[in-house]
Amino acid sequence: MRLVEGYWYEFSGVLTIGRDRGLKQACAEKKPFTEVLFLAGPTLDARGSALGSCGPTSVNRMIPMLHDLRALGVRHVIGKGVNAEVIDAFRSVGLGYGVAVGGAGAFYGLKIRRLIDRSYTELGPEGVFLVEVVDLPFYVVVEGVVRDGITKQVQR
Amino acid sequence: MEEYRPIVKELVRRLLFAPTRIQESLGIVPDQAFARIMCENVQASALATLPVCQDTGIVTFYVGHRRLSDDQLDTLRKMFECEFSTYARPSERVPLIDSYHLGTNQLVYVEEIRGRQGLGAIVSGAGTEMHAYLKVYAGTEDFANIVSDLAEWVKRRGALACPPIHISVAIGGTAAEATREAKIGFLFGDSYPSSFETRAAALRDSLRGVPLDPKGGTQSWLGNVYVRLLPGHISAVPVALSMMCWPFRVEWMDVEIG
Repeated sequence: MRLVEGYWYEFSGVLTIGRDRGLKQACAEKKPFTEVLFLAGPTLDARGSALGSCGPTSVNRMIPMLHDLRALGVRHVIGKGVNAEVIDAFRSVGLGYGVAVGGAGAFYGLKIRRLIDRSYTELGPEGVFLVEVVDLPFYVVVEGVVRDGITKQVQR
Repeated sequence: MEEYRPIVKELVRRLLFAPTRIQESLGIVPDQAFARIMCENVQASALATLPVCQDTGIVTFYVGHRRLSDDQLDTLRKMFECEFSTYARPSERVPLIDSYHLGTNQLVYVEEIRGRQGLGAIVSGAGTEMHAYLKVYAGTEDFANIVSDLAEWVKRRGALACPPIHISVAIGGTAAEATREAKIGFLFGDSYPSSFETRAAALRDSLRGVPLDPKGGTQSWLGNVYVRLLPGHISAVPVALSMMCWPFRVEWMDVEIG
């Protein structure tokens, strides 16, 4: 599905959650990624549910990794933060980018239905998580194409 | 020190699940979709006992007291750290400094407050610390240039945090004191003589004109702008700026301590 700039979408399906150190390590080891990458580091809920609060983290620190992430299968990134540098970086690499609502950790955490796999556990919340989400909303800033999962345009 | 435990628990509850000043952000969100998600987030946090935002980075714990000993102060810090760590994400130290993960510990720094009695805390996630600013000017610098620099910084960094954002600026003192004071502005608001009002107003107007749209548009999502002035020296005038993201996790409770 083509994701058009200026519209809200909701994604349901399997995506990867990662940030800073976990992503850097996965890129170095050339681990394959899901098409959709959600930039975040969740609280690790001690009560045993999937994960805890999990809002987006700032995208600008991940810009140097965009080439590698695309080569490893990522097609659309969801994070937070927009400026001209961010938009230029995504367009030049050919990746889609959508913003989630920063600071809405509890809201996004409850969109995670199932933790499928977890890598780099020694990094704690900085590890990489493979999860199933339902109706995770984001606003498209740089258009892209997503084939896996179910992505629907929504009126918000 | 056990008599302070219920107060510490309440402080942590407010910081993580029910920030008392969050309405100062929600009331100015100029986008319905964002506002709806933010409101749902506040409800979800309270109902599911999940932190309103997972990003708790480093917490500064403020203690205003008369005569606590170092040991008592440390006991109070540990009490806060323990309660906070029960729910929050542990701090992640960067590989530049050390390469291990901290487990369940939340990194908490203590600041002593002079002239007030109470307990408080400010949660500083990446959205607030990463976009902080400090620059030292000559005392002869034109104030308009300082305002222009601050506006440029807010323009470059503000939308990378979590708008609506709130700003606190401290001018004067030493570089360290200005940085500390900028953060304290979130707790206690403005502090400057009336003779500075015109300049403070110019600073606020300038920052409020900056586009700060998390969707990449041109709207300003700026909330409060606090200004604090410190005594300084003509040769070097530090200017510090601190940002606070929309969950506004800043709390202060007046309590007789010590």
